[in-house]
Amino acid sequence: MNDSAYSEILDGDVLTRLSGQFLHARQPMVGNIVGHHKSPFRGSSVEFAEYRKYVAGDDPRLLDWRVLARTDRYYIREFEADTNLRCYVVIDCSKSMAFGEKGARKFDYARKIAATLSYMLVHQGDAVGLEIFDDGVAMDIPPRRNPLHLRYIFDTLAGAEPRGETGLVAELHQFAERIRQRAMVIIISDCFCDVDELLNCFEHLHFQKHDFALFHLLDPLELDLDLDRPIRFQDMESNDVLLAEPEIIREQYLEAVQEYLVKIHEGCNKHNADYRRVVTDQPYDQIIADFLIEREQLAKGRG
Amino acid sequence: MTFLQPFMLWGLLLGLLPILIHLFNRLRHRKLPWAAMMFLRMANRKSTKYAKVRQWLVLLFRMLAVLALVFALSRPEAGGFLKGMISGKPDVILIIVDRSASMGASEGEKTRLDRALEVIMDSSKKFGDEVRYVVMEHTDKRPREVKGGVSALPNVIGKGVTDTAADIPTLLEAAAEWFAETKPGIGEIWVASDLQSSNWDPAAEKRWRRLSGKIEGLPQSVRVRLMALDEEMPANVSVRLLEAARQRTADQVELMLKLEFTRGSALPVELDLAVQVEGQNKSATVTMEGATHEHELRFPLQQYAQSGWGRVELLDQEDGNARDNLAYFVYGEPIQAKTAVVGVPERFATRFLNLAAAPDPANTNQVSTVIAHTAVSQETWADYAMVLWQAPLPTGEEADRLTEYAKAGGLVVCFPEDASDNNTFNGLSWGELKRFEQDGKTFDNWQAMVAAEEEQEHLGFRITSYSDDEGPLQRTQEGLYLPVDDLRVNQRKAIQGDGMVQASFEDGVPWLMSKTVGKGQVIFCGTQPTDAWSSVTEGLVLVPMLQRLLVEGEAMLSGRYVQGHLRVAGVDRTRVGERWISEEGGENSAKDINLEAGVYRMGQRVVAVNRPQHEDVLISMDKDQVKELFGDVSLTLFQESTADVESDDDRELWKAFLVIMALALLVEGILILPKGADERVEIQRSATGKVSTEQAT
Repeated sequence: MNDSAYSEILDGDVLTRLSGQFLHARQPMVGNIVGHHKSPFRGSSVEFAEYRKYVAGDDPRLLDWRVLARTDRYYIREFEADTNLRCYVVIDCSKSMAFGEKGARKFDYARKIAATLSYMLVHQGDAVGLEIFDDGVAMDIPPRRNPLHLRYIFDTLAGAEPRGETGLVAELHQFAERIRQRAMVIIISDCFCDVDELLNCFEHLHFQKHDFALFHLLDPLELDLDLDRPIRFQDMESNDVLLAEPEIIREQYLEAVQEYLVKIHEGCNKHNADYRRVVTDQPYDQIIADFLIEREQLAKGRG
Repeated sequence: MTFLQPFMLWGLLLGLLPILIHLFNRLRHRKLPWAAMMFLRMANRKSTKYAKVRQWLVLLFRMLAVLALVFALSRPEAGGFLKGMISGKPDVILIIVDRSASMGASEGEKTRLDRALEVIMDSSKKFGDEVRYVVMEHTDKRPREVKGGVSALPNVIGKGVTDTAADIPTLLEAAAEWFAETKPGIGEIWVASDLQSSNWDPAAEKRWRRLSGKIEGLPQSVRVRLMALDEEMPANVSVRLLEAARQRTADQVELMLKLEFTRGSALPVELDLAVQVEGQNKSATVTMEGATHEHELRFPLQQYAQSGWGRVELLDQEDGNARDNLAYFVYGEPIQAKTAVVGVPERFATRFLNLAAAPDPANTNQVSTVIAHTAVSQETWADYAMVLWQAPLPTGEEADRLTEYAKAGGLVVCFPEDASDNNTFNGLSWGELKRFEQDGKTFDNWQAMVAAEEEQEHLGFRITSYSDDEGPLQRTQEGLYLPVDDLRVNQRKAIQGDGMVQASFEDGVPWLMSKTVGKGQVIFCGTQPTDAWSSVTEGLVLVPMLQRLLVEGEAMLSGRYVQGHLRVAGVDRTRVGERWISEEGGENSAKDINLEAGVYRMGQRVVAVNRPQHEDVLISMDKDQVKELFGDVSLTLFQESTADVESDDDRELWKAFLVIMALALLVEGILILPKGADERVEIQRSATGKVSTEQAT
């Protein structure tokens, strides 16, 4: 990897610190090769899964003879199967992601998370794809395990720039329809769209049994509106203008933000989304580390 | 409501400042690309009602605070309805102290002034040092700030009674002007006075109306408190010098002192006097009858050729006011009793008058000069004690000059001419010449008339009525009558005019008429001193008459000297740089010629200073009269309410406006106060979802 080429999206120190960690899926994945993730199917691993009554056609070699001798009943002994996963990193590339007043630009932040996770997934043998949405699909890179594929992803991320209005809702629906096989979906967005419609998307993804996580990026200024003079706010996506005095509307603004965040948080919980609120003045490696650790603890608890 | 600093009301325009700042802030907005517009739109929609109302309220209270501050700086005063609602201490008290002679009246040891100062001190202690004190005494009418509060008051107010008179209206005018110029805030004028009528001049109604209007029209509230020390005055007698003149008698020169005594009672009383003349103390006793009594004292002068001074002191141990028991006088050096006889020098009448005016110039101070009628324009009449006018009555400039002489105290005696004279002099003129006739027969002179008389017969115009108790024809000191009845008048001219008839003929036609002109007199005598006219040429009537008039003229001349050397304390003030030394106290005396009666010397000049005449008139006004004088001005008598400090007069409202400003700022602060921690919307910076496993089905 050429460090100078991807220095904006990748940090070698961060990768080194995270190298000992593993990204676990929260639910069984359907892969095409043997991997580190649980599969919904029975396989030949050493890990016992369950007993099942023998039915005609089953391989007699799988009969548990000890149970037959003890109980005179026919049971098949099944084992877990391990497989790899396919992960789709979805990045919102609408113009609103270019905002970064107090912290870094949200889109830059999103690129770093996406690049780091992609790197880790490929290195743990999983396939990574990249979906970049603006008001349509800006880039669609299907998942691959090949390290060379990683370069393609990095190049795409490095070359992407926010533009247009957000089409996240519509594109997520299409994406959920398009990806029929269960997969890990990591969405990185500021989610500035209709909350109810967004939650419909999450329901859709949940219905498709995808393990999806949402990195909800917010600039610190968007959370406190710490401005003191009358401001002519210009919408970054539609260029609409609104003249307002932050001192006067701050309270109502914060209430609206709070209401929105609560709603989106509860929606994520409802649809089993892994919700991550990220303020862009936080170090992104810490965000990723927390994300990995929680999933690892979950995996251990399950095991 | 009135304002002490009305120009500050221009500052009300500053009330627009919060709105201007608000608008200016809106204009200087900056542009900011923004992502989370959906929340801004929601917030904007929500905030339109309450937030805008709050914003306008904040602006309103900011404006209110500015306006209240401007109002406070304009120093408004409550009037009308608010008048009774607010009360408190005044900001300044201007104390007017009357130290006139009448304030020296005492019953016991304390004078009215002492008691006034006590009341002032007691009252001022109630106000304490928070109040400014300014003292104005009637002696200089100059407001003096009291530095050091109440305790310093006794050092600023003069303790002694003066021999001057107070002019209370002038003092009040000066006080009103001081309030108008300095605008010291709520004020009170304390007047310590004995309400002596002459000091208050209640007759000057227009002046008082102007004064009360001036006080009432002051931009700030000023009320008057009157310390009226008008209680019953103890029995008091005052002595006043009316006249002091050197007079010549037959064998000596005397000092004539004309004194006036005044007292409250009309009962006869004996007064003992101590008179100092030529350095010697002499005593005299006067029996006083009536409330006022004039008395003439005569003392022979030993040192003829010198001027001198002295004093008259009333000796009465129980007198109510020791201040008015003294009268000082000065008298001048001897003067020549000069008479001017105007007429034709060669004529008998002229020569006769010349002789009658100065019968023995070698042995007396009487001198007479004949002046031709045509040469009078060069003459200075003021040098003469008497002018005898045996010529046609003066007209034009001559008449004016002679009238001026008479007004200044001169004496002019006119005699008729043979020829008809239609001129008028000071309202008096000659009638037609009338000769005595008997049975159609006339006489050439009075001697012929006497020769024609039979026994017991008295021919000629007979003078039957004349004043023998006063005037030039009065009896002699021995009580003898002048032989006016025996005069034989062959010719006469009637005297026309409105003078006082001193003597008249049988038929009522005046023979001798006098008219007072200014300080002097003009006298017309109806006959000429020639034999053809009457027997006055015998001299038995005319000579003593002229001598008496001459003494009177001499006294007037002497009096003119005295007049220039008699001063009134507080009225005839010294010029800057003059240093007058008390003759009684000498170089080290602290007596002030402008304040105290006495005899003072500056170089060779000696003057006597006495109290103003009206200071001895002890008529006091009552309180109701004083209240009328002040009209609508708030007037309180100390006697009525010395403790009534918290009265219902006008007050300044600046403190109230400061409170309003503070309240407005407080409300504004509450409105813009950020919400408390428990009410504030706190957004968690980090949140994670419910991380759970879901078994694949």
